[in-house]
Amino acid sequence: MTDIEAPSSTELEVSLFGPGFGESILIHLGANSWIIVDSCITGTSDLPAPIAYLRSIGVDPSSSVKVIVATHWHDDHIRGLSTIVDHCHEAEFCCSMALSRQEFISNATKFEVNNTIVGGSGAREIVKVLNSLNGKSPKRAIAGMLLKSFPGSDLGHNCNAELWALSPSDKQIDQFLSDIGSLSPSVKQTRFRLSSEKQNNGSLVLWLNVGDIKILLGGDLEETTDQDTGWTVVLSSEGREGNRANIFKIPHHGSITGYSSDVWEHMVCESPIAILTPFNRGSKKLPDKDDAKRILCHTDDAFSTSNHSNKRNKPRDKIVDKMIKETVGKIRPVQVSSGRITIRRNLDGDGKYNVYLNNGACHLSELAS
Amino acid sequence: MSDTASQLYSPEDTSSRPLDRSQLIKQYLEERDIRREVEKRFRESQDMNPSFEVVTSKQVSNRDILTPNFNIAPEKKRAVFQVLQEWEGHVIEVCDDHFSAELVDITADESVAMEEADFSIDEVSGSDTPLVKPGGVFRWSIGYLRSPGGTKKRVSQIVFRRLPLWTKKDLQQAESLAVKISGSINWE
Repeated sequence: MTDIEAPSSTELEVSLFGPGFGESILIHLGANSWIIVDSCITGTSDLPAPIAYLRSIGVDPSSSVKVIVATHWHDDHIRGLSTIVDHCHEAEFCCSMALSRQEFISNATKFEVNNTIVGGSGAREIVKVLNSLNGKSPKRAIAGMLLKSFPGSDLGHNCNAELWALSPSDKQIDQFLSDIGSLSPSVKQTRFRLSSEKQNNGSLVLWLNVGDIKILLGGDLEETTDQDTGWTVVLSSEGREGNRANIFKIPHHGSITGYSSDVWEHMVCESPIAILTPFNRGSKKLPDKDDAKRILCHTDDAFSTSNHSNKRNKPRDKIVDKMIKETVGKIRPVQVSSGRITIRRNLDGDGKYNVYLNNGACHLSELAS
Repeated sequence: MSDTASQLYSPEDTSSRPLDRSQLIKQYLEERDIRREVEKRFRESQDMNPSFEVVTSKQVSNRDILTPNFNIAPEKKRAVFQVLQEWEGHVIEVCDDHFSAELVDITADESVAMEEADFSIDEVSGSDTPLVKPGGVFRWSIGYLRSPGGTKKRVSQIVFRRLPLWTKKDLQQAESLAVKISGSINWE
């Protein structure tokens, strides 16, 4: 993790972590002011990836992180988020408007109260986060909302920064609450683990301006045929004023369901730096070869935090390995190595971007062949 | 025997003096209660009463400690299932003849799923098949089953957990907690 030093006061940094499912984005705005979006645990540390990274470059998260954003709510996607909230005392917390609604909180606590499932109820992390917000004033994000502005005078380079939410729409929130409501347990029902399916329709999409650098963070939002949901809402949302992103965190692991040609045509500049995390779960492996090729048609500068082959099985007793083989064929690690993509550009410099690929992060062409 | 027991429970205080009989009996009873509780929880988690005794590898090494001879009637011999590896799984998707599940390695004392596998539905006993659906929770144990006669065979078993039902009290408790959480946050 200590392959590079902390960015300079005038350097913008975007780091993406993605161990196989779940992801986290860490952004340095300047003058040691940082934003964290979501959380993941990489396996090399018990700490959430962004906190472990900040410490490894000598940054104190408790005073340096100014904003934490949760674009998701399910355990599988925000592992360690409550630890981030606990570590970052000065940070403001933002999440989707949907997560502040009583219906959501009520459902989440039903799964978490008296839970005995070792792997968690599915709502463990978000309930811990909500508990950590006691007495605080978090923001409820909805499409077209300015979440936070940072005066350039505080950022060491005199470029103002603004963080906007481009989703969810009112209709997305209603659909999300309806989906969650359909899972609501009733008396005498056998307990089960809350599934992470159907949660992407409430995902936050973020837009960040820092001077002339524009960043589109696509969350896990998927495209729909409904004009009031999906990427159509994002395309018409306020906040970006016709600007195009130089850096694009591709939504939903580069899948076809998260793809919108209009986004590539109208929201990002020609050949942006595109970054994504892979998804290794069940029968789905994202991005697949076609996904990678489709993205590479839009830009040569596309990167993944890992390729699918970068997985190691746990060493086990030979007898256990033999029994695993007889029962299920093989067992697969769901988390690949803790890859990290780091993009840096000096706001007082020549406008050149530097991209660092760490610990298994790779060019997307490796996933296209 | 007493040396081993004293190391387990109070190595600093009793290493230089033998334990008296009353202490030994007290220790034995405590250990027996712990062991019964472990077995009870295992059975509850599997929702069954196995005809065999369950021992972990740690218990096997301390077996002489767990069953000291104090003229107490010996237990009836039973088959022993020695667990080598155990996971808790939860189903993430179900296809025609198989299901995919994420696995939490209980043997390694993990609390999040770091592995996954595809199981044939044939591996699941008939009474458990209605529980094979997304969110369903099961235990997968690999180990040796030793019969009272001494024969030993390798066993891999998948048992779906009949988790406790949600009760009215659970839901009321959750509702109160939700109201408390909502009331404690000053959303902007």
